[in-house]
Amino acid sequence: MGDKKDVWQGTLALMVLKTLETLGPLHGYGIARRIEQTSGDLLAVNYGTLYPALLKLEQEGYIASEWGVSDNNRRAKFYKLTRAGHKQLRREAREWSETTAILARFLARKEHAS
Amino acid sequence: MKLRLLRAGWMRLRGAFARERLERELSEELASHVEMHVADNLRAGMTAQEARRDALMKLGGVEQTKERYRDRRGWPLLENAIQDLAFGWRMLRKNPGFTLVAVLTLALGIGANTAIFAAVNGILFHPAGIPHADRVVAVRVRYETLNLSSIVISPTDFRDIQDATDIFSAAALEDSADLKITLDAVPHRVLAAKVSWQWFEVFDARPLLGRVFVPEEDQPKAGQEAVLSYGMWKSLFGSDAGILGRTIALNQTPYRVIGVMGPEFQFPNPTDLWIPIALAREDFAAGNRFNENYFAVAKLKPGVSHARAQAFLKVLTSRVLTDPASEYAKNSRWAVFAVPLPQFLYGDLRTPLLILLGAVGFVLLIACANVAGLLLARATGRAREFAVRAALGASSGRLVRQTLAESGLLAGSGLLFGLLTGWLALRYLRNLVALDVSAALPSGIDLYVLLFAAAVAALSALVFGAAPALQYSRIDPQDNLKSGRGANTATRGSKRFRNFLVSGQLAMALVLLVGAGLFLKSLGRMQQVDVGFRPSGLLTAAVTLPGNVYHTAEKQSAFFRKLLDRLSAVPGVSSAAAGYPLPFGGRGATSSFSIENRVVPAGDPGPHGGIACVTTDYFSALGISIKQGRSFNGQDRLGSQPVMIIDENLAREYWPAGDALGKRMRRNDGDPWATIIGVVTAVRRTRVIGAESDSEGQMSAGKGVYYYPLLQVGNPDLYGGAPATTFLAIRGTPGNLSALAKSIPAAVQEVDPAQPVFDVQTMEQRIAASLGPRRSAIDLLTFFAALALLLSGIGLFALVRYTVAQRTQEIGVRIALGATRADVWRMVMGQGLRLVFTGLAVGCVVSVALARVLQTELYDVSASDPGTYVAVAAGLVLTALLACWLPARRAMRVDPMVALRYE
Repeated sequence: MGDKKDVWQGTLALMVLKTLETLGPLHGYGIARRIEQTSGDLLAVNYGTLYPALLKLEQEGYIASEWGVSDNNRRAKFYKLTRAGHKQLRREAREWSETTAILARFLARKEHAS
Repeated sequence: MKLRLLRAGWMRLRGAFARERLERELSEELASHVEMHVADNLRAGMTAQEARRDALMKLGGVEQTKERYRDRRGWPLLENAIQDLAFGWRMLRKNPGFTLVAVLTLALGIGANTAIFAAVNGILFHPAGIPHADRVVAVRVRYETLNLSSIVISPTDFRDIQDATDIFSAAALEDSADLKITLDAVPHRVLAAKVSWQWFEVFDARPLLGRVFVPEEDQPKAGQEAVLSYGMWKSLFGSDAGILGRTIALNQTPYRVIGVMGPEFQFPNPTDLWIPIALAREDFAAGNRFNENYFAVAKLKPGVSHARAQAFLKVLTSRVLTDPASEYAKNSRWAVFAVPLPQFLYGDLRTPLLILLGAVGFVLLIACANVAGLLLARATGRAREFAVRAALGASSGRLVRQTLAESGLLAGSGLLFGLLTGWLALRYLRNLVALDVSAALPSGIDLYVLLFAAAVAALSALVFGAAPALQYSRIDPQDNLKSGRGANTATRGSKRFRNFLVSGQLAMALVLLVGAGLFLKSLGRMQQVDVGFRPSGLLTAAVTLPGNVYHTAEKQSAFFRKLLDRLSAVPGVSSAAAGYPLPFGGRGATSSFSIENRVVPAGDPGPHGGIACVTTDYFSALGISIKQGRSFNGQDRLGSQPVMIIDENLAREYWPAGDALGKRMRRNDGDPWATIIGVVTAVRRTRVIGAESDSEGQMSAGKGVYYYPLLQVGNPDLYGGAPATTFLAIRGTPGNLSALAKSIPAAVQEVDPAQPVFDVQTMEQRIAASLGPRRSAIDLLTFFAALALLLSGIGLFALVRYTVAQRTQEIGVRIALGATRADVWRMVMGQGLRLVFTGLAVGCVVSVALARVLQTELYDVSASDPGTYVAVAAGLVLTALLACWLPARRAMRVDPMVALRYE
């Protein structure tokens, strides 16, 4: 885990929220696959790290969970966005793009300077 | 955002308590995750085995994921702590033998520390029954050139203290008096403290019943009031609440009882009741400045420092000395000063107490080392268990916390039993020490002591818990699980550490034993000190003649003449005498005197010495030898030529040429001159060694004494007030004293049935009592040293036995390969004895260094006394031999067949 943990967890939470917004209610495995597909190697390290992140989001009230049946008839725990989750997603997404924009400008300027 | 955190916190708290359900759900969720992944992998064309392996690897391990999840789910710290404690509790219950030894060891260590700390705290800092002891001071006077270093003060001095209301919020005087109360025709002796009215206020003491004195009652010729002590109220009046307002007769004078104090206030101790001192106006007059007769205490105003009080007294001193009338005081370097009450009362005990505190600290360290050793031995045995847990995802921090939880449980139980032990020890201690000291001890475990004990327990948990915790945290699951045998062999580091612990214990035990040995030897030497008379076979008792009955010298002399005639006639008595003060009787007085035809030069305070008043056979009864001239005889009676006997110290000081005989001296200007008829050996008066200290105060040893013939001068009070308490000294044989003790009251009754006899003790008991606190401290030190020896012996025994158990197979192989039993024996003993000699060497070095600090406390024994060291080392080696011998015997009996089959 180490130093990257906080950034990574924040990113991961955002990705989870976005996934749930895009795909609707989904189980942990589905979320993991989706993130892996869209983010490449990022999650390939460990699907396991997803579960504590899901738990945290649920504890904070951004997502809710209930048991349901998956496409191939397996019992699985499904997560879905709550209203607070929708709001949080918009806020986080905005913050994220602002941060990346600032960082992009910052990095670009630095290149000029050197 | 705050709300979110709160909500998350709440959910986590719920998580901590709904664990079982959530745990099930988590398992199910992860299982379905893996199944879905496997199904996908199969669809992608993997074999069943590959599919499952890939799914688990991608997940990062089911158990590891669960562990990470759990950290987030509940409050891991809280949850883990509860879990660790529960687990630790189970582990301790599973090993009752280990737990019992560990808890008992800790209880002894913590209990000893608790009791000694309670004593130190009570005696040096917070004496029981005196809430603001740090603000109470004893006001004292010294005459430096008269060798009086700290004595009582005069009413005139007291008036100045009392008037300094910006420094002292209350001040009081005290003087003790022996009174008599007759209840149901039985005379009882009553120890009264005559006090000025603010006495109780100085100590913040409130009465249990009624009230204490008001200023109007502290006046001469006022109606007489008395405040009873709890003890007297209980024993003589059966705790009768109706006592208030009743009149009791003390020395045939009526006193009205106005209050009863609670059991916690006993100052001075012992005291049966308090009565007003009722000094007259003229007592406080300027002319009475240097007539010191009263013990004074004062309470500093809140916020006034001791330094400020001292500064004030310094100013007072110089103001008094500028008066031309104070020439005498100036010449003798007179000064008033204050001593914090705990220091005044128990200053002598400071060093012994700190030594004891150090000793119990050592005992605790030894106890901790023992428990650490036991835990380490177990840690080696449990290495595999911990390796498995590490492999299953327990972090090293978690494992350390787990072992600390076990240590915490041990320390907690140790604390509980330690408090019990400490409480019992404290009760024992109260009976052990002298009355005036025991009053300062708390009657139970107070808050200070509780906090201290808890801190000690927590600290010991850290000390003995750290070693095994460190060892566990270094466990490498790979290594441990690979060596399939269970990997129970200790690492070299831990072995070395355990050896270090045991050697260290033995070294500390040696240090304590050396200390105890030196003090015991010193005590032995003190008991052999020549006190100047023969204590053996000497019986003593005290009588106090009431002043309103025995108001003339004739009556007083007649009483003693008749009484001594009767006592001398008792079979078994070789001589009987009376006198005061008696050596080791507690009281004393000093006074200036003048020598005929000798002019005191300017700037010299003049001759000064201790006074005594004794009957004819006093010197022969006590066994004090006459060095020059003669003893008192029948001719020295009322109305005959005044005579005096002086001791060799006084003779040496004022007649250095040895020509004292025939010279004349007198105490007061108006007295007739008394001729010196004899010089006697000097005697120790209050203590066996060092400075003397009596009711008047402290004076250096070697101060001269002059003796009046009691039958010539009567029974005057040397201390102020009624006839002084007079001691009877009866010489019998060491064997018949208890029989003689019974005949004394009868003889007194025959002369005057109204007079109670009290304080019947042999002289040897009195001398022993003067050594009391010191002896108690040495007894305790010896006890702790023995405890240290026992504990370190157990530590050594446990280590050697454990090693033998570990090496059973190896020993079996050796025997199978031809080693003899004697070889095995030598091997095991050798291992143990190496530790013993390491400990011995280190202990000796530390002892020599530490003992030097003790030197000032030792009497006539060198801190590096070789005899003590040899004896102590021999004792330690013997104990160690026993501790190694038991397991070595077991090693010899190893049956190679059984040991090898085990493999």
